[in-house]
Amino acid sequence: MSDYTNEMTRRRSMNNDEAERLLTGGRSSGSPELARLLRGLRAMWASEASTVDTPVLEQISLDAAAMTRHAVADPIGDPQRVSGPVLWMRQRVATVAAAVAVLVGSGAGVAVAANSAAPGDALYALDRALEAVGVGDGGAAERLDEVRSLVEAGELARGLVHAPEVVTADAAGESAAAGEAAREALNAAAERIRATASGRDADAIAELRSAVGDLVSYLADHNGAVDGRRVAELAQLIGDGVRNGEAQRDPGAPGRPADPGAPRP
Amino acid sequence: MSGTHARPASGDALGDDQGLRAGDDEFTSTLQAAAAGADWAWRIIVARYSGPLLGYLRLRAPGDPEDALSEAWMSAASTIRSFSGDESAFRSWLFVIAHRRAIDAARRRSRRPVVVEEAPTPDSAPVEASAETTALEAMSGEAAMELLSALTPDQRSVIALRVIADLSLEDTARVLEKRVGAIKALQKRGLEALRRMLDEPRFPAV
Repeated sequence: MSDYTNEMTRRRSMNNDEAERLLTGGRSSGSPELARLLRGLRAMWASEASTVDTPVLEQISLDAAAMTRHAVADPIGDPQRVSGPVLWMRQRVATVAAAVAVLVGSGAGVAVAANSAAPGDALYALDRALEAVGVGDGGAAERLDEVRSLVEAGELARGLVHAPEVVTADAAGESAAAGEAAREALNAAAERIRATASGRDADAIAELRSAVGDLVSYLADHNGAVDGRRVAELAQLIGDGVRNGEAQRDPGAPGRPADPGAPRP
Repeated sequence: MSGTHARPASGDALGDDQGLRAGDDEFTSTLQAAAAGADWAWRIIVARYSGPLLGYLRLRAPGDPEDALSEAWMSAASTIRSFSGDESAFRSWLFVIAHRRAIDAARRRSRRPVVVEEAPTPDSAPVEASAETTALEAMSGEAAMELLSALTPDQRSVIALRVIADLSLEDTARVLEKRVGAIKALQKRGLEALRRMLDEPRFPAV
């Protein structure tokens, strides 16, 4: 084949079939160099021993096993008994807890709620969310799955930070400003809830639970088409519920931290 | 603790290559053992997938890929009990998590002063002797990663997930939360860009 013909072959645009063939390890008469490069890249990263130190892999394996064992043996969770990587991960994942953290009232209500009907309510809402998200929608499903895992582990009072990320994942088509407003509102609601979660009366907890339930249901029902403004409104209602609870408990007094050990976002 | 028990004899068939064979009972039993917290099962799983995961994270989270890798595994450990599916689904699920951790890492980096770092490549890279080895001998791993790094972030993600992670078109779309048609377009443009770059004199022919 002449140089001219080779050049013309090279310059023509690639069709989808050729791209797929190259990416699945096949050869290409039009792009032999590219095919070799891709096969080389695949081989380079397929050999795990050459890319990650063995002690690092061993430590990761043991940490992962320990974390899984802890979840199996202690589904309620007791932050006082864990340390090292498990605690590190708990603190990290704790910031995931989203609106679920307040479905059960948070703070002192957590332990009771974890053994009563309340977590069932929370799990029901999350189940609805996961069903709506569907298996194929990785990002939001994974986020909500993490939330669910925390609920099952009894980590209900830790934070409200990943709800904004769910919004981020699902807010395709929304304006950046609306999405940002929703995230800020959720973060503000989370902060307020964490600061004032204890000492609530039953009515205040019920009101809060209802408001958060509305938000979770909205996220579940509108996956893929979340309206950032609506999320912000629902988050605002949560904040209003917290403020109402504060006023009923101790008018004019600042909120008392319910969980000083909880990490901040 | 039960999770630290040695691998049962029946698990020996998992093989000397530490492989998880897709579509057979070995994968299921290993995954179940991992979900119960068995060290041996996690060793197999971590060893099997860390290479491709790190390869992807080095392209998506070049500042701190090892931390992102560790975080991805810890996330997987915390949620593995909720997973169900075959090896292909598991691989896809892992890369969904890794992709999220890469985004988290990028967010953290965006809040810190920018330090330009090149994506490192395996130091020793003792790739098995083959035609692939020849390709990498002709073009260093560093140069190959440089080529990928020159792509747009989306193109880079798609190529990395297809080639390094060995994900299907559909699974790649799932990880990146895009339509299959969009993935096809991205991979085609990415490959065309790579082909053009290979023509440049600074990249020796492979």
